[in-house]
Parts: sequence; C-alpha cells; structure tokens
Amino acid sequence: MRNPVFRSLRRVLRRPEKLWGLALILGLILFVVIPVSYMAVHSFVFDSWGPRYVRGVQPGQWTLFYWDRVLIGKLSRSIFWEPFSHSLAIAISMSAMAIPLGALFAWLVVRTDIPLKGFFNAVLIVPYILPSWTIGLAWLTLFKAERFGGQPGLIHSLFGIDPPTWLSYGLLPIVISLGAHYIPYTFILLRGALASVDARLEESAEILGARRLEILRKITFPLVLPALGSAFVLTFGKGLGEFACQAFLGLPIRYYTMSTRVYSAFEHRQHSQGYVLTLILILMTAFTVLANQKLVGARKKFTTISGKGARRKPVKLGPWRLPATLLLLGFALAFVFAPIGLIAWETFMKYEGQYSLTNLTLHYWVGKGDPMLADGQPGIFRSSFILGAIKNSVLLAGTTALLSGVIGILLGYAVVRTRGSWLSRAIEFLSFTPYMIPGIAFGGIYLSIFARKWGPLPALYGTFALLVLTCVAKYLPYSSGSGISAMHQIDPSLEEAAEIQGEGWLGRFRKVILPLAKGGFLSAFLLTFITTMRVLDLIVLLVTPKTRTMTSIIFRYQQQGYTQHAYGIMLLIVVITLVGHYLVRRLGGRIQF
Amino acid sequence: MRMRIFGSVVLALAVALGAIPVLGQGGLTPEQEAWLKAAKIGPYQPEHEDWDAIYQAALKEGKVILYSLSSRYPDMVEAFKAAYPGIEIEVYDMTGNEQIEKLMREQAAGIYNVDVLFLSNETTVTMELLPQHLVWNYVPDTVFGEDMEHLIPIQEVIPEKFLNPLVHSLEAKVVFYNFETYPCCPLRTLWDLTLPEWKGRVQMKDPMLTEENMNFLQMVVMHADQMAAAYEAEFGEPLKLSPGIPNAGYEWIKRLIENEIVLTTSDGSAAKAVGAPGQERPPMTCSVASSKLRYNASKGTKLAICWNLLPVTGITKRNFLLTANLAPHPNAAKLLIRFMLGDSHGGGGFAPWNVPGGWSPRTDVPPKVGSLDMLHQYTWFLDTQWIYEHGLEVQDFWLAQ
Repeated sequence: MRNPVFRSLRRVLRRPEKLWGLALILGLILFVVIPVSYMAVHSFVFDSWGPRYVRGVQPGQWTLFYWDRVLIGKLSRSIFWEPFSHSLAIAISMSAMAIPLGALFAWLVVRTDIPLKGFFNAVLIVPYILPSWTIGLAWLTLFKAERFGGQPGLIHSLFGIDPPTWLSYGLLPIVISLGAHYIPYTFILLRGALASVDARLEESAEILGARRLEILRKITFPLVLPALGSAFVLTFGKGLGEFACQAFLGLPIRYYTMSTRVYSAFEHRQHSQGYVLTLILILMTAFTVLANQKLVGARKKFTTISGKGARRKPVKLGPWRLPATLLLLGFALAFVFAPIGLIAWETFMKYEGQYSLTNLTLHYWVGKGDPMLADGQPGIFRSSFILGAIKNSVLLAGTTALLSGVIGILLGYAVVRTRGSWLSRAIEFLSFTPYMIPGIAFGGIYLSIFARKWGPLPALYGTFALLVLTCVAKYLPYSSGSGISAMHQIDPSLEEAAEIQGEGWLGRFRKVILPLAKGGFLSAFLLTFITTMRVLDLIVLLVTPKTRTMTSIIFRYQQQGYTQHAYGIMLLIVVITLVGHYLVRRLGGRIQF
Repeated sequence: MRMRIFGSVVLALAVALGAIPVLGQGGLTPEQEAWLKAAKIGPYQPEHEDWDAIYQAALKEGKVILYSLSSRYPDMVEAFKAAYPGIEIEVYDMTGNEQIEKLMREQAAGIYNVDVLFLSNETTVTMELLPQHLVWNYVPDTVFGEDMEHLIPIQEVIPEKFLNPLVHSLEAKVVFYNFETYPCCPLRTLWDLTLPEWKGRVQMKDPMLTEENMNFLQMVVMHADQMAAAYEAEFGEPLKLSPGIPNAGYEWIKRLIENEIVLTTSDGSAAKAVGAPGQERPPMTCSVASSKLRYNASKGTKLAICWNLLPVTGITKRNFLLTANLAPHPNAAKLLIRFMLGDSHGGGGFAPWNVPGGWSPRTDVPPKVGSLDMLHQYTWFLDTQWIYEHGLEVQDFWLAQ
C-alpha cells in the first residue's frame, strides 16, 4: 500500500493528463511522423515504373534518380521549377487578395455602423462553406471560351465575343476563385481579434488627438497582427496545396502547379517522383509557418487575443456607408449567390450551356436513363451509384467530425493542463504538422502505408475506416486548435474545486470539463464536418468504388463530360453543408479557429 | 562522412518501416497453383469446357465483380442477369489506371476483391500485369453464334492475335472533321495539323491525363520514318528538322504544340467542339476515340473520320477482358467474359459496344462503320515492347515543350 510505485500510479490515475499526453504522442508518431518518414525513404527507391526509366534496374533498388530528375535533370524545369513558380504565384496573389479584403470586411462588420450586420456575418462565411471549386466552375460557365470545346460560357452566349484565354483559364481565374474562397479565413480570425481588442486603447489615442488612420496603423493593426499572421499562414498554405480548382482551371492550358503535378505523378503510378514533389511541398509550407513565427511571433495555434475590453461605439462611415454596403452586397452576390444560382441553373439544362426556357428539364435529377443524354446515366435521385456516394459522404463527414470533436477536447486538455512542459509543446507541434502536408500528398502517403497489413494494423485499403482515419489525422490542426482554445477558457480552479469535493478524474471530466467545453467540441465538429464534406484532394487517391464520396464522383463526372450530374451533386453538397451548419448553430456552436 | 551517416539513417528507417516493395516475378505460389487448378484456368484449362458445370459452380459463387473502363455497361448487366439468373453482378466504373492501382495495392495486401478487369492500358497489361501474374488471360473455348443456343469454337471467329490477351473490343483514336462544313476531309497528312491554317484549331485530350494519347505520340515517334515520308509526299521536299530534334516524329509533336493545340479534359468535349453544327471554321480533333461517332445520333453532331490520312489517322487501342489473380468468383467470371463477347450479330452482351466507331475482334460480327481491315490499313497498333522501353522518352519530350 505504501509502495512508491503504487503511490505514483495513484497519482497518475488522479491526474491522468500526462498519460493522455503520452498516448496522444504515440498516436501522432504513428499517424504523422511515420508517414512522412516513409515518404522520405521511398523517394530514394525505384518504384514499379523504374525499369521504364532506367534500363535494367529493379523496383526497390536505392537511387537518387528521382531527386535528380525533379530538381536538376533536364526536365526539372517542367516537372518542378515551373509548377513551383506557378504555385508560389497563386499562393502569393491569392493571399494578397484574400487577406486585405477579409480584414476590411471584418473591420466593417465589427467596428462600423454598416447596416445588415447579421446578414453579412452569416453570408460572408458562406464561400468557406462552399467547396473551393464551386466558384471555379461557376467562373467557367461564365467565361469559358468557345475554342476550348464543349459549350462556351454565358458571356459568349450573350454577347458573341470569346473571352481571351487568360480570362478563361490559368492564374487569374485560379487566384480569384481561391482568393474569394479563403476570404472567410481572415474574416473569421479578424472578426474575433477586433472584437476582443480593448477599445479603451483606441479611445485614449483619439483623446490624445490621433487621426483615425493613425489609430488604425499604430494601435489596431499591431494588436491584430498575430491574427493576420495566422490568416496569412492558413491562406498561403491552402494556395500551395489546393488541388481541385487548380486542376479545373489550369490543366486545359497546360498551366501546371505543384499540386496538379503531384496528382499526375500518383495518377500515373509514378510514386517515387510524387514523394519527391510532396516533400518539397511540405518544406515550402513548413517554411511559411516558421517565417511567420519569426516575423510576427504568432503562435502556431489559431487562437487570438482573448479577454474583453470595453465596447466602443461604432465608427461612423458617413458618406462611405453606402459604397461600403454596396461592396459587401456585391461580394455576396458575386461569390455566394451567383455561383450557386448558375450551378443550380445548369442542372436543369437539357443541353448544357443553352440558356433558354425550352431547354429546361428535370431529367438529370429524376429522369430514367436516356441513351441520348449523358450516355444513359439515370438522374441523380435514381442513380444508386450517386445515392450511395451521398450516404458515404454524410457518414464520412459525420464520423470524422464526431471523432475530431472528441479528440480535440482530449488534445486541448492534455496541452493546456501540462502547459509549459515538453509534452505540451510536442503535442501542439505534432498535431499542427498535418496542416503542412498538402491534402493530395497526405492521401498518397496513407494509401502507401495503410493499404497493406502493417504492424498491428490490418490492411485498411478500400475500407471506410481508412477514409475516416485520414480525414481525422489531416484535420487534427482544426480540432486541436478548437480544443486548446476551449480549454484555455476553463479556469483550472473549477476542476480543483471538484477534486477537493472528492470527484475522480472521470467524474471531473464528465461533470465539469465536458459541459464547459461544448463550444470547443461544436466548433471542431463544425469545421471538420464542413471541410470533410467538400474535401477532394485528400481522399481522391483513397476512395474505391465502394467508398466513393460525392466529391470523388463529381471529379469523374466532370472529366467524362456529364456536367449536369456533376453540378447537381455539387449543389447537394452545398445544401447538406448549409443544413449541417444551421443545425450546429442551433445547438450553440460556431466556427472559431 | 555526413553522407554515410545520412545513408545509414535512411537505411535504418527503411528497414524499420519494412518498406521496400518486392515484386513477385515468375514462380507461382502454392496458393496460386491451387486456385488455378480449382478454377481450371491457365495451364489447367481443359480443351473443351463444360459450361453446365461452370454455371453450376458460378451459382454457388453467387456473384461476379467487374471493373469497367466504359460506362456503357448498364444494358449488358441487365442482359447478363436475365441470361444467368441467380448470379449477382457488381460493376465499378473506373479508369484503367485506377483499376491497376487498386489491383496492385490489393494484391500486395493479400486482398482479392475483383474477378474481371475490362481495361485498355496495353503496355502495363502486357509488360507488368500478365508477367507478374496479377491477372490471368482466360480465353473461353467457345463463343455464342446466332444466339446463346449455338456455340462456335472461339478460334474460328477471333484471330489468334486478339486472343493473347483476349480482346473484347477495338477502338481507334482518330482525326475527326466536321462534314457539314467540309465535304471531305480537309487534310492530306498529319502534317497539315501543324500548318498556320489550323493554328489553335486542333483539339486533343491532354496526353498527361490519358495513357492512350501519350501512346499515340509514342507511335508517331516510333514511326518517324513514315512521318518523314508523309511530309515529303505532301510538300515535295524532305523535312528539315529543327535544331536538337532527333527525328520527324519529335518534329511533328513540337510543331503541333507550337501550333497552339488545345488540350481538353475529355475526348467528348473535343468531339463536341469539332462536330457542333452550324460552324464556319470548326476545329479538327487529334487522337479522339472513334466511338464518338455516336454523338451524330445522340447530340446531332457532324463528325466524320479522316480515314485516308498519311501516314495514318491515328492508333488502334485494344480493350481487354482479364481475370484477376485469385479472383473469388472464377466460374462466374468465365460466364461473364464469354457473355461480353456477344453473339455473331454483335448483340447480347456486346450490344452496348457495337456502335459506329467500335469494333468487335470477331470476324463474324459486321461492324457498323469501316472494317477490321481498315484499322490495319489506316492506323498503327501499339508496340508495347517499344513503349515500355522508349515511351517515357516521348513523355519527357512532351513535358519539356
């Protein structure tokens, strides 16, 4: 009974956060560290295409061939350097678009007397809820040039002029689509930061005679700088790793980016080359995160300044009120209502791109197969193939969200309660690492590792569990971010009080922590639900016919030219996500990073 | 010194991860021997097969799983269910690359899901899948004649060259023109596609997205001498190669890209762009599936094939029916494979593929358009050995342009 081993065991059981922490670290090593190492090793090994490149080699032999080919060889320019510069250009330009606009929107909604605040608060985060390529595809229905085949865009149908190539495909459309999609990142982050900046600081400056711009520059801006830093990292990282939009808007004119090159490598089963490109992408993202930490000093996690100051009276926009309102309304119209409307319209067109009333049909929703239309594919609600995908998608997003919510709370608890220890730092860093790995690459590694029986894990290839595992691991940064910021808000004294009352750890967790952490749980749930619903790049290599999701079949339908089906399924994703968002909001949850 | 430490760390990690893939080659495992024997496939296939016994065995298996590169299977599935009640059929619509990726991963993990693969990917099939015994070539002893009651020995109607591996159908990848605008094909040779007149007016699915189109470019390079001869035939003078370009095949590819070829994401969109009615200056396609001719009936397009081009109009690709290694339902697989070869009218299980621009390997099935002889005359068949050894040089050349 007085045995010291026993005593320390008791202590651990009473305060099990260390144990949690160790278990989490083990999990993170299994699902984060090992996959990255696996990839690093395999980038030095000939894959099954090796013998086609180099006469006489065997798959499995060691080689520097792939690194040489990607970085130095005579093809390095087209395999790597050009896509690399395109990816950088996209990431930089879309950050330059999304961050100032998102900041402006947040400032307008939080700090000024702009009307319709509730409406804007709700509608300005919708682009984030929509799949990133919604805007991209809507762009094509507007600006597609005739010479690219298929039906030309609306502009051509209405005015008979063909938009120039740079307007249809390539850098500009990609940047605008992605930029608009990621404006909500900055908007949400800055909205939180601005709301919590103590207004008294700004008011004192005003009393001291500072002009408004000066206050913005000298007081407000430095205070929200960490939040801006987080927004930059999130946006920039997405610009590097995003796949779908860059594929739809880049491939037709041979505008390749890192992520489409990675996809093409895995698609052609040239795995080793894919690993090399992936490792470089990880390094690029890691560099961004580190640079941001050095420059801004922002924490890796996405929490913003907390604590409440005095409410200040809203800034009067005066003559700017109308233009500002119109700007926000215009944005909502152009990037929320118009894309959804256009896409919805397309699904009712018998022949795509013909904007007349006689061309309207319900065929692609409820029709039986007609060999004359889309090779006889039945309508969406009649196709067991599509209905199965809908079921899979909802199940996947729901399971992932539920698990992520739970894991987020556990992670948050372990990190916050062991604050300051190496354990806390290690968990926080490792759980952020998946953010640095582009979705397409993350999926590729998981495909390679967990496809076959590996250690204690059974072969997961083709199982639903593999998809869930991949999504949960990839979205750890979201769940841990939500969990940590939720746990920060729970005063340890509450738990101590319960402990004094003689509650065991489980009881404390259930009665004290869980009820208070509901917000964090719901936030993690919501973020991962939305993200999983519309994810394509992460799982495009992992889905199999049985585990197909809505996004994966959209990609296939789009490639096969079944446009109405593709758009219809996309519309369903939007509807399901919005309904999910609404339901969670009703439970009191809201998105916070 | 540092490199050596680095090397050993990498090696240690690799060993720790048990990660280096090893591919089986040559010898059969006892498991495979047993399966082949029980399924009567490969060396154990009898000269005359007992189809009643096969059906009975298939009934016990209860279902068959097909991976199909073509989405035209729904009618075939219904007909199969009617012909063989009691056997479920599951079809998954996947590209050839997806099928191969999935098959390789599964077999490496010891998972055996699929029975029949319906795919093209000629080089990978003949150079990797078959030699590594990831799939088996099963050729039924007979096919249906007039109807399912009449059987014909398969050698009588399918030439030997289409039996190893078994070809389900053939399709050409061709140059299309719009016959409403042009009374006949406006080109004489493939070189015309590189002339200023057709600048920005040639459409092809991105060869980086589909192996078939890369195969077309590879064949152009392999037949560089024919390309050079065609140039001389049209312009009356020998072709002058650009600096650093090794032969006429590469020269053609280079000029095609410089002529602003439009790359599409599907054959369908290229075919629609060319065939749309009422155009003054319609584009041409390059290496688009001949079966898109069916759009003329379904979408009102005006597509016609430029058959008589020098040196060829394109390539012929073969679609194979293969039995997966250790397939869980081998007898049902046999029924399905024979069924999909159809009857001598091109009906039954072959009906969905019996379309203009699609060909059965069966000499007794009358094609809707052209003939098997025309394929030999006007297209190149793929040389998979050459593609396996030199194909990536062409792909790299394309990438570098």
